[in-house]
Formats: sequence, C-alpha cells, structure tokens
Amino acid sequence: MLRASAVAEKIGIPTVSIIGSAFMKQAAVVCRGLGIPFALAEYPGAPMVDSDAELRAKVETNLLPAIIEGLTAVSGPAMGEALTEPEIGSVVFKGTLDEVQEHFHQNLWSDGLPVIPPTREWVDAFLKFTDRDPRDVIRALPQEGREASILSIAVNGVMAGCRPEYMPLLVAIVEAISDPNFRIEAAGSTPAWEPLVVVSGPIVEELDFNYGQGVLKVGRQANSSIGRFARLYMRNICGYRIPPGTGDKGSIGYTFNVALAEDEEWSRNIGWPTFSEDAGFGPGDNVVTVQSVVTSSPPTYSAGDTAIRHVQQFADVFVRAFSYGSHSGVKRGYWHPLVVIGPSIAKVIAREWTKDDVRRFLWKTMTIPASLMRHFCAQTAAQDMDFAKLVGEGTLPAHYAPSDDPDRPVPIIVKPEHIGILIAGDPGRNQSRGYMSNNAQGARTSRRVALPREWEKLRAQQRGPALAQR
Amino acid sequence: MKILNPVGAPRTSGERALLTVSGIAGLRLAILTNHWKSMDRMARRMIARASERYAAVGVELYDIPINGPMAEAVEHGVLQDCDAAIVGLAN
Amino acid sequence: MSERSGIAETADLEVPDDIDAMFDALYERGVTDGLPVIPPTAARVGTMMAAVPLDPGHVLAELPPRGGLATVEKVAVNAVMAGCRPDYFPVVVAAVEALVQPQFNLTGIQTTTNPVAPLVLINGPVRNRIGVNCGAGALGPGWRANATVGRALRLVMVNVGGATPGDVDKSILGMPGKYTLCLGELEELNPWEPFHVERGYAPGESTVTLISVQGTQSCAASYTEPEPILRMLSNAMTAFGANSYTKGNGNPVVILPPAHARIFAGAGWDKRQIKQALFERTMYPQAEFPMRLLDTTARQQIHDGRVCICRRAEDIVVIVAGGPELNHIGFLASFGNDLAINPIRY
Repeated sequence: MLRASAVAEKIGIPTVSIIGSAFMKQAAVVCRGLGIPFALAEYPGAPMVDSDAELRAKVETNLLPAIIEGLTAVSGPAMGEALTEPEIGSVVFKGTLDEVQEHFHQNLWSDGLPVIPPTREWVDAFLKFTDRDPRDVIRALPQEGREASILSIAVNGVMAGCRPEYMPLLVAIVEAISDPNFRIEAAGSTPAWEPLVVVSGPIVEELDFNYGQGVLKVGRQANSSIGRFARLYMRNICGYRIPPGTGDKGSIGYTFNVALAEDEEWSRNIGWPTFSEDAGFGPGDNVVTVQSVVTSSPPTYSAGDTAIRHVQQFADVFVRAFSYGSHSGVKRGYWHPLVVIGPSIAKVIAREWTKDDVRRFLWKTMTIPASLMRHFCAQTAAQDMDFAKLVGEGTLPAHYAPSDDPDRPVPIIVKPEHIGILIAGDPGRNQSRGYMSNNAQGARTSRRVALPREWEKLRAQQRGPALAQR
Repeated sequence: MKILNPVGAPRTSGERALLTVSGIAGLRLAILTNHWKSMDRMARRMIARASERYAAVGVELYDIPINGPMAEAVEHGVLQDCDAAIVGLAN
Repeated sequence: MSERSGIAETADLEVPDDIDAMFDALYERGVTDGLPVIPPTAARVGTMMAAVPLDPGHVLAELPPRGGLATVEKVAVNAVMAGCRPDYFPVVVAAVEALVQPQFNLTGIQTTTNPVAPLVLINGPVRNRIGVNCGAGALGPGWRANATVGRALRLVMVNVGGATPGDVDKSILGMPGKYTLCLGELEELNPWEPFHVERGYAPGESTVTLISVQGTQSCAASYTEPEPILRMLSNAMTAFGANSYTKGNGNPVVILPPAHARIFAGAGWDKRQIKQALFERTMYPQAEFPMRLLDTTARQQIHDGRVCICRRAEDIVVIVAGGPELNHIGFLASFGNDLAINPIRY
C-alpha cells in the first residue's frame, strides 16, 4: 500500500499514509526504500480489533489530526543521503564557453539549449534590478524542496538569456508560481501543462514586449527569454525534468510558452478594461499573471460586423476544442480558459458588447450533454462524475443537476468570470485563439511587479544591449 | 579477520521535500483504500468529518490493490481531481 | 548524474578469528539467521563470484522494502555465509533475479504478517551437476545444495532487502521454511513433462522457480487408484484460511511422490486433468465461510457461490519429488501471489 503513497507523492500530490502502530518501523524502511519522504499518520493500536466506537474515537482524536499534520508539515525528514549540492553563491565551474555548456548539460542544469553562463558579473547585473536581498527566499518549492531565492532567480534569468532589466518581472513570476493556490506541485503531471506568463502595464512598452503579430511565437527577446526562464526555473529549482532527469511525467507535452503581452492601448481605444484591470489592478500597475495552459483551440477566424457573429464562432470552435478536457475542471468547480482576441475582432465586438457580455455568452453557449461529459470523465479518470454530489457539496451551481436527464446540457465552463480575455495578435487579421488550463491547477495568479527604487537611473545608464555592460 | 559486509544499501538518492498543503479547508481529498475492513470503517468516518469539521470541499474514494501497484487510471484520477491524498491501510 | 543514482558502499567488517567469537559478532549484527555462518572473506567471495561471468558491481535486483542493491558481490557474500559451494552460485543468482519479477510481489512477501517463504524449485541438468536432492527427504535436511541455496536466497532477502524479522518482516509466527525451502523435481521418475517444460523451457535447460508458500502439509494417501487419492488430497488442500482463497490468485503446490504419479499416469491421467479435478474439488461454499471475518481483503475467485483455491486450475503446480513409498503426498498452500521462473544461465 505504501507503493500507492510513493506514486501519489511522485506524481505531485501531498500524501499521508495511515499505518497501524505495529507497522510504523516497517513503514519507515519501506518509505526509505521507495525513496519517498514519509508523512505517516499512526493509528494507535490495531484498527482491526477495535470496536466501532473505539475506532471512531481514535479517528477523531488521533488519526485525523495526525493526517492534517502529515499533509501540512513544513519540512519532512531527510531521505537517506542528502543531495550534495554546491554551496549557495559559490562558483561551480570554470572553463571555456563550450566546457560550460557541456558541464551544464551533463548536470541537467540546462534545458537542452545553450545557456548564458551565469558569471558573477552577469548575476550582479541582474541583482542591481531588484531591491531585495539575494538571500531572500520566497518559498521552498516542490518537487525537490529547493529554496526559491532572489539569487536563484537572477542565476536562471541569466542562463535563460534574459536582460538584467527583466529581473523585477522574473521575481514576480516566481512569486506567482510559489503561491499555494497556483499548485506548482501539480506541474509534473502527465497532461504536461506549461505556465503562461502574461505581462501587463507600462512595462510592456518600456521593455519592448511583442503584443502584435506573432505574439506567441519565439523571436522577440522579452517574450521569448522570459518564457524560457519560467520553464528553466521549473526544471532547475522545482526539479521538473524529463528523462534522463526525473520529476516531469509529461507524456508528450509541448514546449514552453513565450510570454504574452496585451495590446493595452487598443483595449483602451475600444473601451474595454485591460486584462490586468479585469483583475482589479490600475492602469499604471505593472503586473505579471501566470496560469497553466495544457492545450489551445485551433487558430479561430471569424467574420461579420456584429458582435454575436464573432463570439458565436468562438463558442462553436472552443466548445469542440475544450469539451473533452472540461470534465476535469468542472469536477473542481473551476478552470480558467484564456481567450486571446485579435485586435480587429475585439473592435467589432466592443461596439456592442462588454467583456462580461462575451463571458456570459460563451459560458451559456458552450454546453455539452451531461452524459458526454461523464463519458469523457470515465474514459480518462478512475471515477464517475456525480453531478448531484458536486452540487450537493457546493462545488457546482445547482443548474448542473436539475434532473437526472443524461441529455441535459451542462456548461463546460463553470462560471463566466473564470474566462480571461485579452487582446493581442495581428491587427490586420481576423484571428483569435482560446487557451485551456489544466483543470484548477496553475490557477490564474497575478503579482504586482516591484521595480527597484533606482529603476529610472539604472535604465538611463543602460546604453545599448546589456551584453556590452560586461 | 576482515570480511565483506552482507548488508546491501539502497541507491543514494537526493533529498526530497515533503509535498505539503497549508490546510485542508477548501481542498478535495482522495482516500486510497486497499479495503481492509477497518480502513473502510475509518474512511467512512473521515469522509463524514472532512467536510463538517475541516471544511474540505469533498472526498473521493479510490481502490488500490492489497498487493501490487495501483491502476494508472487511479493515479491519473487522483492527480487530476484531488489536492491531497490519504492512503491506507498498512496493516 | 551519479549524485542521483549512486551505489552506496557498506564498509567491510572486522571480526574475531576465533570461530565462536566470530559467530557472536555476526549474530549481534543481525546478519545471520540465528545459525552459524561461513565468514565471507574476500578470497571466498572472489571464488564464489568466479562462477559467473558477471562484474561484481552488476546489480541483479533492487530488493524491497529497503531497496538494497543485490549486486553480484553482495549476493556472493551471502551465498558464502550460507555455506554454498561456488557451483551453486549460478542458481542463487537466477533466484535473486526471479525475486523481483513483478507478479511475485516481493514487497508483499517481505512485509506481510503471513508466514510465507519462497519455495525454490530447481529443474533441469543443474540438479545432478550440483547434487540437488529430488528424492527421499527432498524438503528436509542433509543435502548441501538444498540447504544452502535456499538459505542464501533468504539471507539476501533479509540482509539486502531489509526484511528483518519483527520490525519489517511482520510475520506473526514465521515458519521453518524461512531458513531454507528448496528441492529439485524428480524429473527422471516423472511420467509427464517436468515443470519447466510445462512452462515452455527446453528439457535440457535448467531453471529456478520461486513460489510463495505458507507452509508444508502432508496428506496420507495410500491408495492405488486416482479417485481416493484425489479425495484425500483435495481435502488437505481445502484449508480455506490460505491466502490464495482470499486473494483469488497464487499457485497451490502439490508434490506427488513418484509412486502416486505412476498411479495417475497408469490410469490415463495427465497433469491437466489432475489440476482440473483438484480445482473443482477444492472449491468451498461461500456461505460456509464465517460471516463476520474481522478483516478481509476479499478479492476472491467465486464460481457459482463457491470460492476457488486460486484463479484457475492451470495455476495449481503439480511436481514429482520424494521417496519411493506410496504414502504421503506433499501440499504447500499458496500465499496468493504468482510464481516467478527464471532460467539458470551460467
């Protein structure tokens, strides 16, 4: 049974195992042998021989508190020998550029692509762009319990090919993924979701982010290197690595998302609040938002001069793209699609509809028969989908189970406000696209970007590319 | 005399931190049971208490075998649908 | 990379030369089975390892629950301690590899409260080469190969796999088979095909088979016809407290002495028919099981309201071994996990 616990821990679920007292020593050996940290909850005595009343009392008084403690314990005991890792801040290697690449590849410190060697000079250049102490730790992150320190962010930022002035954004990204609601511990699962970073605020223009044609393609340094940073950080600090590493169990996967930015001026011109304003930020705030993306719709072309023509098209395409996977988010009561609307399309829609109108229409229109959602669920997971139970526990609104009728339509998105809407892409084309989260994992999480006090001065000092600064 | 040690040690593997949550309020829990009757009795109790006392959002029950690895579908289901797992019973 | 998958070394031990003190020292360390052992000096271990063309560091298996690495060297150390001769070593190596076949469920065997031990069954020409007893007293003492091959495997399971009795091996009573339980099939007097041939190996190949069993039982069946023999034997087998009844899998083992085998063969029975007859006659009405079993892991194989001894008739193992008299048939109840068979390659 402890093998089940090992698998659960390895796939990214905090797990506690119930052990009868006589078996605790054995459990410790088994857990060490299986290579999992052991969160064990002891049932005092042998449950087999206890009466119903005794068992009930022990569950309440001893077992449940022990279970909660096991699931929430801050640090677990070390398993076997600790990883021998270099001392923080130390120089780990000296050599030529080629030798550095080879060394980093061998140690699984790169993502398979060449990295900029994180020399002390480069790292210091990054650290100038934050007021935080390099030793400051945001949080110890799964899977390997390594501390997400400001220094580690600078090092990985250098490696990813970022510019020093991106450092405040990188810090905000790591703050976002460290938020417990984001559930970074679920990032190594088989569907293979990637984080998507959205950048908002004046910083978009200042740092030359792409938000126009080819917005989600590699090519522009800000978008590309920051997207690469997010994935590299998850490999190096969190420990999500595909073979020959461990931790990332993505079956097929796709590659890292470049960072996304919005055409905020366009949004203002057509009278829509921006993506970050939707989240409650002000127009002058610099914000990063991170969420999981597991798949996208096809590139979606729409035509017509009324809002409904376009949004109906979105609904028709996205419902087909997202129906299969929706059961997983619906079971949690939350998943968070992101709709990227081409600027010209948004202009037409905005003449008649607000963003909330769009959300409501999509939510109302994108339905599938309840039986189909249950079928998709049964094909994928080990459990049936019990809409009545989900409504009963408050996870889903009542309209998911007004009756038993298997043909009744159920919305694939739980609430309209879960839908993110952002304007980006080629203004000369009529193309939009939908992005699907991995159920509730990688929840949409925003953090304000904290610029250093000396930001203006540092920016003024930068003349030309940062490379010339070395 | 010098003799070789008959005890075999496991591979040295890296320290892995325990995955944790900050509390179970608002979480969906998985209970993986190998169906020892006493485990099932405990599960019934825990299911009742999890929402009522600890504000968990819901509890899902999964079968695991008494001998052998759990089915891949269970592994997938647990990860996709739940935030934390309680596994029993080692007895 | 080696940081992540290193092989840890356990240090050599210094022990007294005096034989009594040496036994005390090793006993205190918990690496004996309570009986004296041959000290595994480098020279002895070297000679043992020379019997197979493998590197000393070659990992034969990772053994649960500790996950200890059963390298060729570690297995040789334990084989020396057990008293094996070097020409037994290829059998021990094959047996250690067989332990980790997944259907064998070694983790379960190492940690259960059940008294289970692995029966080590040897087939093929290796039996005669190393002197495995297949005849009278095959499961008893007196024959070095039987005694030490089984013992070496168990020492490896404890010293490398970590199944120390009491703390990790939770067997409530244990059983003598945990010292050693090893025999060869008396192929020469088997009127049918030997066990390994039944399983698809060539007669000239040698194999080792591990079957997880709960104990040994004897059934007096001094009859000259199949029917009464089957009645007595099936009665002995229908001990429904055996795990195979509760788990619905595994391999109940029937050891037919040659005289009994001759009676069946002479009356036109083959092994398949014997197994089918036993499978049917060992079914037990579900209604007659005590209702409120304290705890049960009921994944039983049930046909028409009757609980079967295992999953199917073919899973019953019928081998021929033992002395010449027409008296006692051997039966070993199954722990409820499937057997592992491995060719002996060296």
